[in-house]
Amino acid sequence: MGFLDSLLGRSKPARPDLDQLFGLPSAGVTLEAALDFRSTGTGSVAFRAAEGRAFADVQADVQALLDAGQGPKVEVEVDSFGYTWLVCRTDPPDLSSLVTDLHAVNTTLQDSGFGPTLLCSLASFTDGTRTFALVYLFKRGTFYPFAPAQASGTTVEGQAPQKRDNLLEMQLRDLLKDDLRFEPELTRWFAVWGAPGLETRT
Amino acid sequence: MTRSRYGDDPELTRATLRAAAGVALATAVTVLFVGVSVLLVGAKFGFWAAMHGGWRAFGWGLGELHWWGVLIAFLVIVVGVTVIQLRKAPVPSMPRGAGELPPDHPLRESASRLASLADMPVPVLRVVDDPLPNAFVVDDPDLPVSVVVTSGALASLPPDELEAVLAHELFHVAHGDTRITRRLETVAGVAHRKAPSFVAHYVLRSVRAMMRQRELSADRAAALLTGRPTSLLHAVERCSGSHGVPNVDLRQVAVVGFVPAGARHGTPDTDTHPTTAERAAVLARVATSLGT
Repeated sequence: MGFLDSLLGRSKPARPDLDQLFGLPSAGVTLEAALDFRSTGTGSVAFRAAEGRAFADVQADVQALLDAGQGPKVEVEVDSFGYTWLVCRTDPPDLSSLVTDLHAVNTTLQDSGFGPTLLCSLASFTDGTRTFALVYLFKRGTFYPFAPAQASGTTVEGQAPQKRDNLLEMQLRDLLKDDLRFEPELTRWFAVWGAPGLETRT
Repeated sequence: MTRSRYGDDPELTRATLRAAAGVALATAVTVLFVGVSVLLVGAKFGFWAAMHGGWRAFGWGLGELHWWGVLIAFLVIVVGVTVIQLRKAPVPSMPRGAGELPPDHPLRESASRLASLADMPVPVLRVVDDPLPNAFVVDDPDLPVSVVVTSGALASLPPDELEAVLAHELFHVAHGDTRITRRLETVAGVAHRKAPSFVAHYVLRSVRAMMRQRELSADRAAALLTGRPTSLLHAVERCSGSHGVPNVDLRQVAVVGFVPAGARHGTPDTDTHPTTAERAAVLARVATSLGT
């Protein structure tokens, strides 16, 4: 952003970039070959719904929009940060059709004017014990891995401490750097604890 | 929902241009004043004649000196003096005792998500011990740009209001508001000391009008970004309703605060922040546009 732009109160609106999502299936092949991680068949799309709308309204509206475009069925959840998550499931797990569904959900939201409110999409993977998500940042067109560490011990409040498995995350970045464009700024790798669509096996 | 939250903001553009025009006008008047004095004094000592002779030697008669040449020289001097003044702006410093927000504080995740929505780098979050709920941006050149939240804000604002305050400050970060405000305020200070008083007052008013407009623009952008105009309005009411003596002198750290530090001391023309009613009016329009 130039000096003139900051002087005049201008900045370019962020444009969602959806094409990168289609890099996920080839990343899935690499993951399975190298680390034996497979898609859980579950993914989700997070966006920011405006206040005051009844939850049921948002759910009905979104499903109506998706149905109009022959989109997939989604489950709607709201997290503690006030973001709405649309969860897509494929059974049996099928990464390619999951990506198609996620893309359809994103495109529908974007075409309905929700583009600027889209936060991220994620697809989750598991090797039977560990689970992680590949998070796709719309505004950047980049991915990053989010791997919750195995819970060990409890804190004073009785909650499992929230720790990220940074080692696995870096490993994934190195492994998948030819398949996906990774987010270079690590500060943008925000945590999505307990995000709907991120299946954690206990 | 179709509006893009960080698009053009014509009201802000107009207010900024008015402030810049005010600053340029003050400089122009001052340069004109100084220039005429120099010419008068010069004429008294025969300086003028000597200069005329010098020009003659180069083959340029004074008669060939067109009016637009004088005008260009005048404008160059005005721009030069303005730039020099803008560069003299004081350097802000981080208030003492401002520590980083604990790594597991939920506000961090709110900030990362908001920054991601707005597609901007995540600023550093700091806390300063001050019972009055407030937040501000500090662009200390030795540190990364930081959003400083008071301990009072952390203690008394619920999470959705804290998030709204954060979104407001992120707008200031994204638009470099601290830098521009600090520079224009410096010029207004210089004008106050050097320029004729009506000019100084005009400059101050136009700079402050721009600052108020920046606050309103930040409110609007924050409400659109979070989709929660009501939370932001509640935060404004809560923060501006707390009276007392702040621990942090905002003028010292040269920053843009969520609400003014301490009581309002200016007149409506020279206040740095819009009134709560004005902010509520803007947020009501956002709520309407969001269809809530």
